[in-house]
Amino acid sequence: MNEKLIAIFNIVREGAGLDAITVINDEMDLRKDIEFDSFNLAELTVHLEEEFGIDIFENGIVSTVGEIKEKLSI
Amino acid sequence: MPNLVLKDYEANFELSYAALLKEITLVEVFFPYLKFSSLPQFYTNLLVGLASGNEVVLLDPDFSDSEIEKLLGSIDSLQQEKAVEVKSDSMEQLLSNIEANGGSLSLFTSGTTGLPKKVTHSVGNFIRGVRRSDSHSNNVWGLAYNPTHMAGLQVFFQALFNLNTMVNIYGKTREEIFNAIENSAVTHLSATPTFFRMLLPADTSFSSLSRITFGGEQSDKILHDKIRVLFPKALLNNIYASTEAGAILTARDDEFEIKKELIGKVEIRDNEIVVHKSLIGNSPDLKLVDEWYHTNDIVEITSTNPLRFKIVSRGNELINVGGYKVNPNEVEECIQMMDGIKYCRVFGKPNSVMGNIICAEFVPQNGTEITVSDIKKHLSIELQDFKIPRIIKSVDQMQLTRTGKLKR
Repeated sequence: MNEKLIAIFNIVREGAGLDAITVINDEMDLRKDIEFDSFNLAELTVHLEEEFGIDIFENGIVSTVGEIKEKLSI
Repeated sequence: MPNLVLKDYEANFELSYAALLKEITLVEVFFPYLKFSSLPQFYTNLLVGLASGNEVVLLDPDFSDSEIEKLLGSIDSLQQEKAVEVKSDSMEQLLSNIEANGGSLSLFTSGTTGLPKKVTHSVGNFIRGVRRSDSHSNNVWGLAYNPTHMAGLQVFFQALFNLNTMVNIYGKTREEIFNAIENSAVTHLSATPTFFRMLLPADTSFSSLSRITFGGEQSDKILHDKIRVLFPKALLNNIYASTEAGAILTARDDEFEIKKELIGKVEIRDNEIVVHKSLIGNSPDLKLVDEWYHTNDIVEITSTNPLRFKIVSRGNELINVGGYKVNPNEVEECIQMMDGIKYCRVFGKPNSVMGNIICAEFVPQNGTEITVSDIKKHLSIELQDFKIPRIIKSVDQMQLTRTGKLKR
């Protein structure tokens, strides 16, 4: 499942002019470690919703990779 | 009186009122067309221009050369200089010079047609909204808005005319923002709901904050409740402002009232907010009907005496992305100019992080292989970052409305 998330992170990172990442773990912070700003997080929600049908930010902000997985139940 | 006008922890600089005043009185030229490069340079040039009674035209740092050419006619305008001399012995004298000398400020805002339009405000328009008293003298402001935009300028003038300190937290990370709030004991924070959403989760709290103001886009009670945990001693309110008219309404929670001093100049007609021309910046593009500017912002009246209302919709075509207003026509024109594009449409899609996100769809011309990445690259040269669609898709055909217009 990490591979799918990494692929989606990398779509957003490419658009933001950032290098692709190859490894993630549950503790990683989306803003600090994945380097997403609010525009990138907004884009991330759209890709995740298209893939999984769930808006991860619907009930407040999600901070880490592990919290995304929790929301998506994956 | 606090001696600092500006502090930035990450850039590791502070500017004192004494140093600012000295710089302003030593400067011999000013740049009428000012493209932002750093906060001290920006504020110094701005105050020199205003104190000498000139018009200062403000340009965002991420305006591309081609945007500037379209807006100003030539990129060479940025090099223009004007000889000036500002004489002031004290900040108080400088501020009264600025009030008396009739300078003006021009900024570019998303217009109804393709290009951003220029709106010029007298400096009095800004000062009108400033609350000045001894009770404000110890305020410390967090500068969370883009400093070259209307809201960022309002924070600047509010802080300046009370000789307060401003701490730069614009574009910073959550951790940096929290450090700045803690270390400078920030008391006042005015920002967009998107900005505040990025400070969550509320797993800590700051007691220095006494006033929080939400502006620029719709906010909601869920967010307010969470922000109350983060800033337990702060009073929360909303502000309604626009680049055309500045701040004209204020409220608590989601109900608004017309400011007392503006009754008669701001009215609700047929549930629309209309603003008298005396409050509006000068712009040839603004259409007035019998001296009144129609905002297209629609309200629902909740009480007639006193008059209170909720804002139901900001009725123009602009897409509000975290407080930034994007004109879809401008973005469409930019995509359309590329070879290989047959049709395109740009639209906003509701988004839980930023209110809306900009999306684009395009139909490629037969036989061409234009990619999403080609379009993004082209737009990054032509447009400011916040205007670039984050989701771009190639489609076989465009959806049209019944009148044959592209459907947003």
